[in-house]
Order: sequence, then structure tokens, then C-alpha cells
Amino acid sequence: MSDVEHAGWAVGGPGSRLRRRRSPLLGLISLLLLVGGAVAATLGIVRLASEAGPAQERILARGAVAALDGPQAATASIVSPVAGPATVWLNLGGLSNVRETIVAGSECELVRPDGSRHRIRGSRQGASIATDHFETIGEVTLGAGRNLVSCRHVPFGRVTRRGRLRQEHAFVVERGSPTDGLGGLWLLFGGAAALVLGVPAGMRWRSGTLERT
Amino acid sequence: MTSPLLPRGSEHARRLDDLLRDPVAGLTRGDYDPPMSRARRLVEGAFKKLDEVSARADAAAVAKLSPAERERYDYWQARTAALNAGGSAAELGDAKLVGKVLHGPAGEVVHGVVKAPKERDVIEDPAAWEEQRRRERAARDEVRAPYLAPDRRLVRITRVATRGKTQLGEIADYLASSGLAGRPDLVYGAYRVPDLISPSSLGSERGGIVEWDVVHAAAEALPRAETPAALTLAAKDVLVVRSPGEPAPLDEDLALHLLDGAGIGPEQTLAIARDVSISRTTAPDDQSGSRIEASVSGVHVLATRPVPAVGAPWDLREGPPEGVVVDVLQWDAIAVAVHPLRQHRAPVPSPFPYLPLTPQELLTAYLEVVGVAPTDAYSAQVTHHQPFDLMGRTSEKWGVRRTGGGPDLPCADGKPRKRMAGGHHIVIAYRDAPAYVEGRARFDAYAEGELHAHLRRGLNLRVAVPRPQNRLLRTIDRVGDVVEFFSGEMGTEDSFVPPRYCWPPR
Repeated sequence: MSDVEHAGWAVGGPGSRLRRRRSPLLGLISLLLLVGGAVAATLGIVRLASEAGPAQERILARGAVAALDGPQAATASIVSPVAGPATVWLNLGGLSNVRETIVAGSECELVRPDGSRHRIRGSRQGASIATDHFETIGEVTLGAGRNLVSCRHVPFGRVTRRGRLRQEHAFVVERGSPTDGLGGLWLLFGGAAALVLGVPAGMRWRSGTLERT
Repeated sequence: MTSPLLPRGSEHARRLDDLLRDPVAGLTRGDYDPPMSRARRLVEGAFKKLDEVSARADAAAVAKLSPAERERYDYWQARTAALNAGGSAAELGDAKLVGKVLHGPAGEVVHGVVKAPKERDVIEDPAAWEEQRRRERAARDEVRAPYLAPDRRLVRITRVATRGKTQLGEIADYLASSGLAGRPDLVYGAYRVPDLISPSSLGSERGGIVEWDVVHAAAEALPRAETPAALTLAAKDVLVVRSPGEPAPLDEDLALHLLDGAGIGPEQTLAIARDVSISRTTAPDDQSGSRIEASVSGVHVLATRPVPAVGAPWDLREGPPEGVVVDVLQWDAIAVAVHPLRQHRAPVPSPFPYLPLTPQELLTAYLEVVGVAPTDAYSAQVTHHQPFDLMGRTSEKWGVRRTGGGPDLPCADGKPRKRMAGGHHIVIAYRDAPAYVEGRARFDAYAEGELHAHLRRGLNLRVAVPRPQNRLLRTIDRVGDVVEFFSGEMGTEDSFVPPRYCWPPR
């Protein structure tokens, strides 16, 4: 003889005047939020992983950052049919603190077809975007026609730690702004928000409401 | 110059003054007292005064003890008196068991008098486990048989599943659909099963599954009845007038007084059930890990007609109404011995097979031994009293207390789920009768003789209402909180639990 007899759910049994009603609309919404959120978050992560950084087909030119106190290095020449934004990426890997010092010690100058100049410095970016092998120096606005981008390392940080600035590093100029490859972030944020809303919606659907029959 | 230890104007004080004023005259007077004798009397008087002062301080300290502390104090006083009267420590039993609920083999293990016996092979297979449980239960039933009331009624416990948010409405509907609402004379009571189901699931219990037990004596199916009236009283409301120092009301006391005032007897009452909720809370700063806390936030009353609850706060006398018994028994003390890990099945073969394995078994035993008739019963519950941490009896993995780890166990809806077994007290409320007085004596003999347990010890019920802090102390506390917040040095969390239904006092 067991101590208790299990009798199922209190509501909905024989003689019960209460029924649990679950809204199909709320169920559908919660399902969409949960599934859509999970898919969007996953896609966002995949897009971020694959699109962040300069894409091969968007690279306009390559060059080299001249070493500190070294000779002039290769200049990037870009012929652009229209004016528009471009991003200068430093091509390097390694430890993040070392990379940040190198980026901060980089300076580029853009000479537009009309002779105007625009100087950007890695240490003056609002925010830097870094991937495994690239990190932004800054964003420039190209003019229509032939543009020249030249970069060099400049003194930054303690003198004893400027060894890496005395080497040349490759850079690339990519069409578009640095945030163009971060579209996945919106998917990730949106997906996470949908999941956050979907969980309570699903729990609310599961609880349902009691109705008198 | 009179000694401050001697009462002004007393004979001793007068003599001491004379002696100090004129030592020669004092020594040559006719009523000459040898100096050593007088000094001895003075010292004796001083010691007597000190004893009186000390006794008054002790009495004041004892008066401040909670009921459980007072009980423990009395046990120790009695033991000391027995030792002083020539009793030997061996006769009086181990000091570790003084004032404890469990004695006997289980008590000796739980309280560290002897080492725990080597674990026998615990049965994991559910079918074999059930078979062994039945065998042990049959043996216990046999031991219990001589104590059973001659005119006892059938006791059945039916368990149903509800959703946390709508549990009261659902249980009222079940009582109606099962027909029990139309036969309150067959219902002992109903209560929320104090177990936490699916402890690792997200969210609160409101959206989760909560089980209820209905304790009744219906042998066959009954026709559908009207839905009973339900009333819930919130513990945070001031419903009972109490002054500091007066005993706080028990949930059942309050409900019983309301029923009594409305002229609703046990034959019209289906249940008085504490509103138990289980929630996850963070531990105070001085403790690590989170807590899964069972607490009482009110009391539900289910009756065949509405229970009026107007005009609060009510000036209610201490305890239940005249002629009604509210009996509270310890369960957790037994559970520690027979069900050490809440999220697992109780180990079987039981290390102490003479003890009941579940609180429902003990509840049934009480009803059958005392012989309570369902028509006299207001309430039969396995429940909680003070905030109770379910994590205090769980398994650990790498030093972290676990909520899971146990098997999926059957629930009322037939679906197996993880569960953490709760339950601290067993509460039975009923209209008293001479036969029940004998029945309670039989139950005490059974509990103490067969279970080796004193189930009414250390209950700490109806604790004196404390005096609230005055405005100055509250202000100091608030300033302290602000300082702690900005300094980042958070102190320990305030663990004060106000008494239910009467806080703040008048």
C-alpha cells in the first residue's frame, strides 16, 4: 500500500467545471520568438565570425606601414570612380596588448585627387574593431579619382617597448566603413531579445488560464 | 558609612555603622559579638544578596527565551538536578540527546553518539525499491497495530497536480468534481505538498507544477458537489491584535477562530492549509551558495460555505478556540535519518526501518492511532513553519550543493520529474473528545516506545512577538544601509522574520 494515490491533474478530470485553455496565438508567438530568436542568434554569431574584418572582394589596395625612423614604405593607390568611405586595416596577429600598441603607433595619410589630405591615427579612433588578423587604424573618405594612402609608425608608449614599431607591417584599404561587417551583431542582439521575451511567453502559454465550462 | 550591599536601616547595617563609628565601645558592649563571627555574617549576607541579584538576572534571561530554547533549558536543568540527586550519566543517557526529538538507534547516529552503520546496498531499481518499501511498511504496520484506535476511520491520501498560480482554484474544483466538497464529514484536510518539483527549471512555481494532497475517508466514488468557498489570509497583513511579548498566532489558530466565530464546525470545513511557497533566494553574505526556501505566506480555508473575514484586526485569545486541538509534530527530524538526500529516493533498505519513511505515513499513523474522525477534523497537513532551506539536506558535488542528481520520481499526473522532498512539521487540527485524549496518549506511547521519538519537542510555536525597532534605530539602520551600499562593504542580510498576521504589534 502506497502512502498516496496519484489522481492526475486537479483540473479537467471527470466532473470538473474548470478547463485549462491555452491560447494558440500566444503559443505560436512564443514558439516563433523562441525558434526565431535561437536561429537569429546563431546566424548572428556565424555572420560575425565570417564577415568581420576586410573581405577579399572589398579590398581596394594594399600597402605597408613604414617602420619607426625607417624609410618610406609601399603606398596604396586607389582609383575610385565615386567618393565614399573606406577603412584602413592593419594586417597583424599576436597578443592583443602588443597589437593595440602597434595600432596606436600607426598613422596614415590620404591624399585625394583634388590634393586635399586627411590624416588618421590609430590612437585616435573612437573604437577599434579587431579580428584574428586585422585591426582598424581608422576610416577615411575617398575622393572620386586616384587616391594615395601612405602609413608609417609613429612613437607611442614607452621607448623600451617600441621594438615592434621599428618593423614594417602590412595594411589594406577596404571599401566601406568598419562597421559594415558587424551586421551579425544586430541579429545576435535581436535573437537574444526574442529569446528573453519567448521564455516568459512560453511559460505563460503553458500555464494557460482556467475557464469555467 | 553603610555597605551598599546591606539594606539601609537593617540590623546588620546598624551594627556595622556602630562598629565603624566607635570600635572600642562596640567591642565592649554587653551584646559583644566576636569579630570573626560578625565578619562571617557580613560576608554571608553579601553572598546572599549576590545570589538574589544573580537569580533575578537568570529569571529575566530565561523569560526572554523562545519556546524551543526554554524547552531545551528545562531539559538541561532537569538533567542537572537528576545528576545532583545522585543519578548517574549512564542512567540518564548521553548528553548529546538531551532535548532532542530523535532518540534510539537513529537519534544516536544523527546526533553523533555512535558512528553511522555501514551502508547496506541501497536498492536503485524502482520496482525492487517499491517491493522492499512495502515489506518494511508491512513490518511497521504490524508494530503499530496494537496502538490503533478501535474505532478508527479509513485514511486515504489522494494526490493531484495543479499549476502554482491557480492552485487554490484548482484544488477547490477537484474537491467539487470528486464529490468530497459535498461530504466534508469524510475529509480530514488538504494541503499543498511541500516538495519542489523540477528544481532546476527556470522561473517561479507560479508557472510550475504544484501538488496537493487530499486526506479523506471516502471509500467509493461520490457524485459531483458544489465548489467550496475558499478564503486566503495573508501572513503580512495585521489580522490579529498582539502586543510585544504576547504569543504570535499560529496559522491554524487564526483560521479556527474565524470558523468558530462564523459558526462553521469541522463537519462543514474541508481544509485549513498553510500557503506554502518555495522560491530560490540568494544566501546571506556570510553563507555561500543559493537557498531554496520554503516559507509560509498565509493560510487558506476551504469550507462548504463562505467564511466571513471582516473587521480585522481581531482580538483573538492565545491558541485555538476552546475544545479544539492543534497538534504539531516534528517530521524533519525523522527525515534527516531516513531520507538524508532530498532529491533522491529514501534509501531502502532503510537504515532505520522502524521509522516512517514519509511524512504521509506519519500523518496516517497519527490519525489512525488517535482515531480522529474526519467529521471532527479541520486540518491535516504536512507543511512548514519558519523559512526553511531545502538545500540543507542535498547531495554535494565538488563542494557545491546540488538541486539535481536524483532520479525522476513519479508525480501526481503520472509523469516522472525531479523533485526535492520538503516538509518540516505535521499539523492536525480537530474538535477534541475524551476518546482523542486517550488516543493522543496512545500515540505518544507509540512514538516514544516504538519510534524512540519525542515528536512535540523543539517546535518553537507561538513565539513571543518582538518589540519593533523605534524610529531612531530604524533611521540608524537605513543610514547604515546607505553607507554599506556606497562603500561596497555589504553587511550580513537582515534575517529577521516577522511573526505572521500580527506584525507590527500594537
